[in-house]
Amino acid sequence: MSGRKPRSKGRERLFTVFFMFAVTVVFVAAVSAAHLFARDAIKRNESLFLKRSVLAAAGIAAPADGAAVEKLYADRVRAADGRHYRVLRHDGDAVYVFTRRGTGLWGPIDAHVGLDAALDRLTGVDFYAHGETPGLGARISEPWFTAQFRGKKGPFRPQPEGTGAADGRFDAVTGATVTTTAAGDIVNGVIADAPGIVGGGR
Amino acid sequence: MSGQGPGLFTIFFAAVFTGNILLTLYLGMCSFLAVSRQVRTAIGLGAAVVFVMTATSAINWLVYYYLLLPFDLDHLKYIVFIIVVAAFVQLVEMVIERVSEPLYQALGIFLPLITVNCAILGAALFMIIRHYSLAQSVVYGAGSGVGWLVAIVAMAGIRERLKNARIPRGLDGAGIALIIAGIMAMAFMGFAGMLGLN
Amino acid sequence: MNLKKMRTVTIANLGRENQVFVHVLGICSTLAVTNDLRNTLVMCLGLIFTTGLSNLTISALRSWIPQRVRMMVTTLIIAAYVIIVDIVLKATAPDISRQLGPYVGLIITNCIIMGRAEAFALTNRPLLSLVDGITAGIGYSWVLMVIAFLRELMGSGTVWGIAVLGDWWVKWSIMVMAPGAFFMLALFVWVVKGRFLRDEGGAK
Repeated sequence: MSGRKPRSKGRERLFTVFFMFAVTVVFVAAVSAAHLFARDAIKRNESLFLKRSVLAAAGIAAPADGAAVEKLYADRVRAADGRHYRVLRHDGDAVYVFTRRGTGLWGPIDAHVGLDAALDRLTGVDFYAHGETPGLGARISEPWFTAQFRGKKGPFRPQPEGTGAADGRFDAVTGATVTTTAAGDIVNGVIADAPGIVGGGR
Repeated sequence: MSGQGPGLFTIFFAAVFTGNILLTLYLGMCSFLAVSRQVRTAIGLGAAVVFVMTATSAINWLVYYYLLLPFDLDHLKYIVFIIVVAAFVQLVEMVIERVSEPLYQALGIFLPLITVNCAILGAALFMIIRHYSLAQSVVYGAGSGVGWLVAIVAMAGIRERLKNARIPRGLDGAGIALIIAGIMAMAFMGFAGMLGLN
Repeated sequence: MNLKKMRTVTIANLGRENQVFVHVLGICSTLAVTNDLRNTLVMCLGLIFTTGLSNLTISALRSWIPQRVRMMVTTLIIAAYVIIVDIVLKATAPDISRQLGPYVGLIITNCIIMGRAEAFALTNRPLLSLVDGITAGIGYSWVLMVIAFLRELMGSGTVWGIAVLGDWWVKWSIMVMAPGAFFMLALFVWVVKGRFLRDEGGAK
């Protein structure tokens, strides 16, 4: 393994170009193969994640097993149009889950917000995609934050952490004012627009 | 307001202060600790970072939305981004060498360091995740660069003063630098109150 | 093969030559996720995989890599391995992958990988380089795992997501936030350098 010793400068340059090209081709091919191999699994994971999120917003506890989630979703969720779903609960009530995007500190926040049949009380909230600061704004997708909306009546106003138990109130994330406001705006926006969306879809 | 994302000023301010890429995300730590002994060199490296970060944010944005997405090559973005950064740095080095000898003397040695500066790749990845537009990406890149510059210059200023201080054994060098960085991170979080940002 | 050399390399990488507390390298990409033990472990496994294999590959190619494009080739190889880690994570552990987000990609710019490639793989045999890469990764990982354990315990009162400290524990929010990692790492460096490596560095 003494290595190659190109004789002239031109040849060295040619070898450099060739080498770079070969390395690129080999590694891009390897990566692409891995990508093709895993693509279906990744797609399935992503759709499963969204389905869990919709179920969570409808207030239905999703099972841990992937196949069970698929079945539950197929049984109970009907997509009404691009913006909302109609979900049948175990007690026979139909609830509505709405997709909504708001603006956080760093970028868009995507959420599923669930309202009961009368479009009156929340059945659940899930902020499923956002780029907020880890440990601060990102805490809006933690269970303690999303669970506090369940069963409450809007519109909502943020309160200091630990004091937002009543209807129309929710605990803010300390230190994440912009994100908290955005989360509240998303929920309030859904409450305001829901009758129009559902009415139009019927 | 919705759909457009945060305003340009908000992004810039947040990137420089409250969401400082170095002090809240720890990106670019290696060169931050290694090159923060003198204010002069810190300014040189910081300026180079601002320039490269702003420019590569724009290039990477264009490459991503006009090349990678249309051809469904999203999974190659890490390779492509880092190669863009490396190639751009090399190009800048060559141009500076030809155009201005003093500038090359001042910045030249820092440029190779920049390729492996996590902050630059980080800014490129964050702008994709946050669905920024081209303008937002450039402002975010510039803001992150300026934030990095501010942090490293402040750090170098503090360390210059510490040169003659008595520091507990074991804490000199990296240890004390990390503690300073921690205190700076707390101070920068305090800027949040200024604009009501988080 | 020369097992003795491998042992020397291993011991150095885990202790006296540890990349984190001796050289303070490579904390960029991982420090941000050290407020959660599980995420840290996944990041560290990804890092060990990448350091090991990139060291192996670069060492195997070392006599052919043209000097002029050395950095580019190294970066390309590292990036390819990191993408594979990313794809595997997305396919098998989607929840963790989502939490880590861009940080997996940022393993590419982790200075340890480039550092080991430049300092070791370019001058040593492939197998020895593989051992060096893996042990450098492990040496790095154990430090970060200790930091993550303490940060999660004090910041959230949990270990591996399981609550171990009762309600009486007042959570130190500062620990989960950015400054906590700096203080924790500084303390770690202080303790290790002051206590265990004191005979090094000659006069002072």
